[in-house]
Amino acid sequence: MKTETLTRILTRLDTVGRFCGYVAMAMIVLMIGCMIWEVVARKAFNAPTMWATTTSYMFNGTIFLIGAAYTLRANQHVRIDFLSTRFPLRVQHAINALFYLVIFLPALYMTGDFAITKALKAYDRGTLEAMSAWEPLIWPFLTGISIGLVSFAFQVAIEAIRHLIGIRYPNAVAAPSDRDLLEG
Amino acid sequence: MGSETLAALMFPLLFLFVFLGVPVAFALIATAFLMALPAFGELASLQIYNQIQNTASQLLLTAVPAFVFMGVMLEASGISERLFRAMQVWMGRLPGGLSLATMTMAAIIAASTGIVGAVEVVIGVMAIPIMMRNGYNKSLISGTICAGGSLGTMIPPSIVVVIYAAISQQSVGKLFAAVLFPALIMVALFLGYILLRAILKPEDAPRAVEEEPVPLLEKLKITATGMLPAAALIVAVLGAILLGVATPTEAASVGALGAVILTVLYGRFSWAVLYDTLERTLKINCMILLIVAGGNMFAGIFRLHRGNALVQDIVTSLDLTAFGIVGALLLIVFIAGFILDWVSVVLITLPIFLPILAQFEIDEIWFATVMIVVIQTSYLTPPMAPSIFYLRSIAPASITFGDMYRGVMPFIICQIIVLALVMMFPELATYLPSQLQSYE
Repeated sequence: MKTETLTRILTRLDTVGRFCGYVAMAMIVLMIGCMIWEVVARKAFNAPTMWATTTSYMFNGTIFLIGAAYTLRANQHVRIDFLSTRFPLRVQHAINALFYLVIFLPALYMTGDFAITKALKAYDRGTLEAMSAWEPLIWPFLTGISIGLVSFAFQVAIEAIRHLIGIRYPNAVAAPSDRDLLEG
Repeated sequence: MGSETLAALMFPLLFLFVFLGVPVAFALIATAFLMALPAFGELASLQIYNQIQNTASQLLLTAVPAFVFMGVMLEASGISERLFRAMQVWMGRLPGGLSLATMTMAAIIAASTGIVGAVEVVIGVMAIPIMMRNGYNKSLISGTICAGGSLGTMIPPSIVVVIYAAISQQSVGKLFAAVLFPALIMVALFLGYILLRAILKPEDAPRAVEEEPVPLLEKLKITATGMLPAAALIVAVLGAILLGVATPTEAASVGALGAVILTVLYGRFSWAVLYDTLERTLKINCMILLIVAGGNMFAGIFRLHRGNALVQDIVTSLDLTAFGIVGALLLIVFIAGFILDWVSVVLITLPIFLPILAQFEIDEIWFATVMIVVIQTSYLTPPMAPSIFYLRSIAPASITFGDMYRGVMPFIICQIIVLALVMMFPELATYLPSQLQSYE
């Protein structure tokens, strides 16, 4: 298969992470909305909600996991690269590919597997959230965490393939150090 | 392998991954996972998962996306240009006026956003060209931008403080209150230094040639539209948290809405701006919180391997006084800050420090304050200073590294003075929090 074909397929596959990113952005709006609602309900109507605080942490917990893939694609997970950028580009790609495939993906796979099992169990048993007086069902939150971990692992796999391409053709894909310094 | 051996191996392994250039968050997760495997086998994923769910369920962390959104949106509102203009009309004709205006603007922007690098880039892009045109000394320019940018660490609402509070399970409101006086003293010292230098060496900061005297009515108008709305927003958000009227997340969410309204009023709002703000908020939030999750995993596994006991044994065997311990811990933070970003510094060191602080009965709020000052100093101190890397990315080539190194030195001294003051007079940090009843 030609490299261009492969990179085009990878770009298609990025859609999953991007879609999760859009959902996460919508959740940021919802989370902030919940909190504003709570403030208005408490201050203006003297009727604090049962659900707003719990919902907001569940949103936030989901946001950072389902947004992790999007952030990885944008290469915004901070790296300390003053040393590694002195290696030849091929070596940098090889390090990242190896790290992703041999260590990081297996770790995410096992953790994601555990997360899915736990979410399914919570769904079957109708487990309730134990931290608040509201006590909603907890499976939607656990499902959010699971989707986050799975989509993140998927993006890590895509990036690993990109780095593998980079070992052979160092300039066909973005360098590990190639990120917008001005973000964050 | 014994459990303590695994604990002792965690740090070398972590730094190996970090220096190989993989993302810090991933390095933390991978190290925790690898060191959990030999001890827990299949159950390693349970240990890792539990930390993910704990992080995802932490109420305090919901303040992070809300504060980040507020800061990014305020930046998009064009508030910084207006602030700079407002500062210039008041200070432009003082000795070192442009530099003073830049520093004051930096302090106000730092109070509207908790993102450290962003403050420096925003003020630098705006102020460097004007100061260059007016013939300001390049080291004064560099120092002003770097030191101004570093204020994001200290001045509440700072994300550093939110994360610190989340890890040490303290009240965000009380920590905001604790850093407030030291932050104000620091800004005053920065401004005092600039003024003094401009008076003693006028050639470093020539009177602004462009500045025509502005009529008072015009001045007031520029101030009313450029400074008051932002100042009111900041005071409202901080006030609500400090007075315990609202939780940090609630206050930040209302602040986020305020930032959107301000952007609409300034005529800068569009759906593209909202999307851009959400996108940047998402990336910054994910970057920070994944490090928090990774740090929690790392600390959790370290604890399970009795790493904390190991550290405590070492500390006890050193036979240091409480003062010596604080000095040693701060030195570790200072050096770690050369290499790591601040989130990682807090996440890696703090879980290990907390039991030591308890053992020596060191006031946690006071220690948080001095540690945050040290993180900020580390951000500014060459040769490995993030502040200088940021400045390099936005400064013209005619400003050399030499200018930058010379420029930040006096400001580092100001920070050391603040550190010494808080050391000598702990009340600077502890008085205000003791007067508050935070809502948490």
